Amino acid sequence: MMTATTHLTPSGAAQFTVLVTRGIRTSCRVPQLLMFSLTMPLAMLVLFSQVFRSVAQNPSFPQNVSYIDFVTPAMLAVSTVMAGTNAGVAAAVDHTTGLSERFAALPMATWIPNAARTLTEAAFTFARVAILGIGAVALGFEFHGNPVDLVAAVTVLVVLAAAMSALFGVIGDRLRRPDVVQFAGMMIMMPFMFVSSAFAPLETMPPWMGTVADVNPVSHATDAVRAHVLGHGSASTTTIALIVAVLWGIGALLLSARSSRT
Amino acid sequence: MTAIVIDDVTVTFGDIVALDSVSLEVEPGAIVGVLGHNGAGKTTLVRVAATLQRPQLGRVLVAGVDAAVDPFTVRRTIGLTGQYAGLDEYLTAQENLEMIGRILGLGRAARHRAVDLLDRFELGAVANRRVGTLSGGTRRRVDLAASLIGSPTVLFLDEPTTGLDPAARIGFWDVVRELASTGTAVVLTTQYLQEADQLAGEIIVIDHGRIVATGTPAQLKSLVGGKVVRATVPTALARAFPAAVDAEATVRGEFTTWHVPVPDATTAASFVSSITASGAGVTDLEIVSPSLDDVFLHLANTGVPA
Repeated sequence: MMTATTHLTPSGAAQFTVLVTRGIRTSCRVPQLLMFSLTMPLAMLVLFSQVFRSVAQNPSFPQNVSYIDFVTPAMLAVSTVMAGTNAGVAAAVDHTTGLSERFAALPMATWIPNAARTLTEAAFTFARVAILGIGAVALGFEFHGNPVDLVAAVTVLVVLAAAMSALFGVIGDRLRRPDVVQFAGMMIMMPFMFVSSAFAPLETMPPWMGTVADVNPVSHATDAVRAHVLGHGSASTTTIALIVAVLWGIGALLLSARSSRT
Repeated sequence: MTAIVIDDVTVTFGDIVALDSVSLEVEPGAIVGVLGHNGAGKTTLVRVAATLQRPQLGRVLVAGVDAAVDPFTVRRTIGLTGQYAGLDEYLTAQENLEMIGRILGLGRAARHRAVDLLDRFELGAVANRRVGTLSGGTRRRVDLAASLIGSPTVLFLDEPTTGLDPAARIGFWDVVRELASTGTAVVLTTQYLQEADQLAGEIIVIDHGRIVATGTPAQLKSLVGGKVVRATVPTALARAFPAAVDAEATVRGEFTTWHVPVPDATTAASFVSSITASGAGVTDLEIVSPSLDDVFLHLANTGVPA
C-alpha cells in the first residue's frame, strides 16, 4: 500500500475547486455563523432605515426617492464587508487549527486558499442579497429597474464581496486569531461604511471625505447599485464600481502571494 | 540517495538564534529522533526541512532536491504532522483525507486511498465523524493518516505523541516503525528520551539551537547510564554517601539530593543497598530511567561535544 506515487501532478484549478467545495461545506456546517452573517445586514437595514430617515428631509437629498430605496443598496454593499470578515475569520481559524501550515507544506500555490475563500464568500453573497432584498421589500422597498439592472446590481455586489473576502483573507493570514480579525473587521468596516455615499449624499459631507470616498469600493458599489435600484443605472457607474472592486481584490491577492512567501 | 540532507543550517529571528549551524542526514527507512526541550529549536528544524522556513545560512536537500530552489517538488515528496492537528474540524475524517489527497493530485483515487488509510489506522468507525468531535488521540491518528495520503518518502513528525495516552502512544510508535520498514525516512521530534529510544536509530540532542550530542540510543544512554538513582539524604550525613565518580549532588538546605547514573537495574539495586549500609540516612529514594534532563545535566557537567 505504501507504493511510491511520487510524480503526482496536481493542477491549480483542481486544488482551487477542492478548497471552494470545502469552504461551502464547512460554512454550511456552522449554521449559527451562517444565520448571523446572513441576517445581521437585515437587522442593520431595519435600524438604519428607521434611525436615519430624517436624512431624506435634507435639501441635497435626491427628490422623489424614499429613504428605504436609498439605504437598501447601501446595506447591500456594506453586507459584502461582512462577507469579507467571514473570509478573514476562516483564514485565522485555519491558522489556529494548523491547517494553514499543512497547506503550506503541500505542493499548492500560496494564493489558492485565499482565492478559494474569496469565491466561497462571493457565492454566499447571493443568499445575503436575497434575504436582504426580501426584508427590504417588507419595509417598503421597491425595485424600479428592469431585469438587466437586477443582474448588473447583483454582479457588482458579488464582485465587491469577492474583493472584500480577498482583502480580509490577507488580514486573517496576518493576524491569525479569529477574535482579533473580528475586531479588525469592525474597524475597517467603519470607514468603508461611513466615508461613502452609503447613508447620506457625499455633498452633505466635508470635502476630504469625498476624496476618500473616491477610492472606497463600497461607495462606488453603493452608487452603482443605487442607480440600478432607482431605475437609472448607467454603464459607466457600474464599470467604475467593478473596476475599483477588482483592483482592491487583485491588490489583496498580490499581497497574500507576497506575504506568505518566506 | 540520502533522503534528507540538512547542511550547516542557521535560522535567526531578530536577535534570537533558533538554529545554529545544524547539520543532519537521514537515509531512506531510517528514523532520526530530534530530542530537546521546548524552545530548543526542534520545530524550527522541522519547518526548515519541510520548506516552511527558509534558513539564513546553509541548505536543505530532500531526495536530492534543494528546498530553496524547488520547494514545490520537495512538497510532493514530504508528509508533515505538526504539533497541532492540521485538520478542518467541520469536515469528517474521511473528507479531510480526501481533500488533502485531491490537493496532492490524486483525483478520484483520493477517496479509495483515504478509506484504505483510515482502515489501516483502525479509524474506519470514525471515518464519517467530524474531526471536531473526535478525542485528541484519535485526531492525532487522523492527522498522521492525512500526512501519509500522498505516500511521502520523507515524513516529519513534530512531537506527534504529545497529549496521547500511553496505549495510543505505543500504537502510534508501531505505525511509525512500519512506515520506516517500507523505506520512508522519518524525522521525529520529541521531549521524551524514551520515545526516541523506542523508535530512532539515531538521536540528535539539540539545546538552544545547537546540536549538543548525537549518537545511537545506546550511546546516549550509556552516556547517562541505564538507570538513575535519586537519593535524598540529610546534608549533615551527605559525606557518608557512597557517591560514584559521575554522581551529581544538589544541596537544598538541610537535605542533599544525589543523582547517580548506573548502567542497569541490577547495579541500581546493589547501589541502593550500599547507601543503606553507608549510614547516610536516606529520606527519599527513586530509581528512574534517565530523562532528557539527565542527558542535559550530564552534558552540562561533562561538556561532551557533539
